[in-house]
Amino acid sequence: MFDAQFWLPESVNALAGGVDELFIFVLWVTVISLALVLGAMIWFAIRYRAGSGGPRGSMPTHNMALEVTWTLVPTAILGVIFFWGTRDYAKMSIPAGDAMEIRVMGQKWFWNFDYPDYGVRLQATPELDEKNETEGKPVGLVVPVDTSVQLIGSSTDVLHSVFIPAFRLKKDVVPNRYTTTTFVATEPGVYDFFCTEYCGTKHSNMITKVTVLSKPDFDAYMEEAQEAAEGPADGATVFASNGCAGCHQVREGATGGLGPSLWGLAGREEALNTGEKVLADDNYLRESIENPMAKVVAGYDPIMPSFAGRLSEEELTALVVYMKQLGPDAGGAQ
Amino acid sequence: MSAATDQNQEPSYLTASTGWKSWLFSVDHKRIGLMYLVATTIFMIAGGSFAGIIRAELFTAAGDLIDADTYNRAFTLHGSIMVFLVIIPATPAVLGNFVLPLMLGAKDVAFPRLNLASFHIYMAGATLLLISMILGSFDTGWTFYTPYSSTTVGPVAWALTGVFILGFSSILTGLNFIVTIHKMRAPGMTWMRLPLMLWALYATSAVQILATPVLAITVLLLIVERSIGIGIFDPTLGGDPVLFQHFFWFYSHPAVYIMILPAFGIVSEMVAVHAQRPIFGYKGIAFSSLSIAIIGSLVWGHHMFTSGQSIYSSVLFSFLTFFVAIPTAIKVFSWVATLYKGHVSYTPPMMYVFSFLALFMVGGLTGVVLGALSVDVHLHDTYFVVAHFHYVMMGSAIIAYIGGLHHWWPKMFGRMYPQKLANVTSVLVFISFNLTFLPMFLVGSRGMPRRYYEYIASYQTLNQIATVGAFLLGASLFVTLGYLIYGAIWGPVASRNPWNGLSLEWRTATPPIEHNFHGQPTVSGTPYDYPVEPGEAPGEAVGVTK
Repeated sequence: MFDAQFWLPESVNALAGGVDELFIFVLWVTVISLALVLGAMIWFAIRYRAGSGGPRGSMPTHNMALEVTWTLVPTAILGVIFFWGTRDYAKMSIPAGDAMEIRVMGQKWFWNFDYPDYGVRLQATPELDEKNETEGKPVGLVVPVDTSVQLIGSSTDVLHSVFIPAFRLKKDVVPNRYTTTTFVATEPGVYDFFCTEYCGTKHSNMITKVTVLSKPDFDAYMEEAQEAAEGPADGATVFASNGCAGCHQVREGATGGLGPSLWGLAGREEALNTGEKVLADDNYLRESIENPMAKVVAGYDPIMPSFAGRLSEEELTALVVYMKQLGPDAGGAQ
Repeated sequence: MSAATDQNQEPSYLTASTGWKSWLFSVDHKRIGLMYLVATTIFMIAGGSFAGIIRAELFTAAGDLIDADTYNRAFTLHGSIMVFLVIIPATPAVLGNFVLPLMLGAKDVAFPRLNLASFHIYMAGATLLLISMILGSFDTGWTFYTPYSSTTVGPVAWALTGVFILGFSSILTGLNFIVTIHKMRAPGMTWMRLPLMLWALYATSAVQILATPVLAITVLLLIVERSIGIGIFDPTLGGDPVLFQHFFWFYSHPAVYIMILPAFGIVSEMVAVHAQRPIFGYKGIAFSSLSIAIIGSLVWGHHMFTSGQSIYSSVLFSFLTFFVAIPTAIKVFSWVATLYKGHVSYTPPMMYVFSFLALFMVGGLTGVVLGALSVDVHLHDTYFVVAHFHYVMMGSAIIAYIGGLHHWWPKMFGRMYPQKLANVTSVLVFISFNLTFLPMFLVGSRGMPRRYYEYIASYQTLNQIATVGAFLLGASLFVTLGYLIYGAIWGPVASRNPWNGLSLEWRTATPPIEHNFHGQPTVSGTPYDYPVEPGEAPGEAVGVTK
């Protein structure tokens, strides 16, 4: 009853270490509190039932020492729970700098998993999953073991949510922003993957698996996948066909252009014309395409037109991925 | 003394006038309370029926009984009816309306016509929700999350308009209660002599007035978005769906306190009267109601730990959430301490106090689990959350409400229900409630998401236990309804003060006369000045003050 195996599925995420312990700790707090308080209730109810001979004397209506105690003790315990929960939440929310990026796109009622480093797209529908399973192929989201992975999610329609119980991980995917979560899988195997934000008729069919492979198996599978199905949309093509290059330079050292150069932009602190500084993360890049007037880089005129509604979610994400590959650290610039 | 008259032969409020108009257009707070009682009971049966459909479907892992869209409509209607039409109005509008002026020693609420208007507005809002059901119903969940609710087909706008209108009923009732408590307390009833039920209703009313307008504005914005395409929450129109969640929970989290604070009031009354003992920690209980109302308005973001809100916001909301737990714990300890050296009678209301304390502790402590950020990420939107909020909203709010009905039933109808049957049934309700919802904690922590029409096979056994429990719970509640109705019509005539209570409602005739009291009662002590020998409770003679 009091071990994590009874209450929770197996845990195979190196970042979720403290979660199960905290759950069991609060379970113990719950059981002990219930035993003490309900024990007292039952004891008083029997001892002091009407007509019983229990000694009454004066009936106390307050007791400072007791009331201070029963205020401070719960406060202390709750404080411990707060700090414990916050510590692990931070660990599970902030990806490591070198984490492998996988873009998760939720759609009624299936999932796309894009691997920008490999140019691979995997898809999860009940039919595809069944096919992969019968062919002995990895199912659903495929990740390497012992590797820091960040999932960057978005949605093309309504809210969905990525829930991987064995990773203790959950993050909504939202149609107007990117949300990020991270994990390090510790055991090869196949685990459940659910949608946990209600999304309509086939909400409960929007389930798939996470397949954790050894690193050699993962690399081999990525190679196989590169040749097979269609990959994600190509950001360079989207960039060219929308005329972005008319204003933005994309090569190292290149200057000029009505807009700022995009080389090395991603992950940098950018100075705005308001004097503020902003980190050029995925959501900044996204906003700068959809709503360019919101944050204008210092030294440039606010003249960029909005591309909201002119790009599909897929194209928008392809552009963001493309921009992140323009830089000395990205390596994989194509 | 007969049920229909008191010593002065003045007819009771039930018989003072006759005909349907004398009820439907009555400005008597007691009649309005009874009309709310009838309405909320009917809606509770409706909402419970949808729960029955849900549990029947979930008896097996495969979706076999109804189709997915019907299932989605069923849980939407279950949630919407239970929240908006039953739990939010039940205790304030039924019991609050009936007892508030009586406990204050007043003739009526401050604005009797406004009170009637609240009831008519409530019925209008409920009618719109019913119309949306007839028009094919809506499938958004009671939370109306965007952009699903902005885009799904169905009469969502009808339902939203219904919710909008229901909000006004709630606001006006809250306003009425606050003014009444401020202006119409009997001579001698200082704030520190106020029955704890009234402190609780006061805190509830404050939350109703401050939070409900935000809900009204939010659903209005959503109606505008759906009907004329102005983008507020829908990203395809330039809106922000997460903004909706902030707006929605800014009301709907405090709404949890609209549901639970009155329950605290009921339990405070029942535990003191049925243990015949002064309440322990009166000030602690009164002020913790107010602090829960204040802090509880600042914790809405704990519904959004996985929504993509900033992690710094999440940390702040988690921190504040734990602060609500402290005054809540103080209340529980005070109620249990009130039993110490008391004279505890195992009456039906006391049985419901025992039930409440056990269920509310489980509901509250599992809330602590969910307040912890790292654990909530795993448990959010699973059946663990479903179990948690049913322990709070049904196991605590509704159980206390049913207990309160047992406590004030003889005052309302002048007759007593069969008490032994009531005790046995209360135990059945307690057992079947736990049979229904305890397995949900386990199936949830093991990963089963909520709002699932089908689920993976390993969750089936626990779901089957829950379904069996749910039908037993439904049956037990029908037995409760049956003997309460039987008692009200054919039960033995109740005395003026069957429980030896000290608050003012027990001093007037049973059932009360139309204007509550013959004279103006006055107060010279707290409503918890026990011990009092049976028959020595003050005011056995009409209109006489202590």
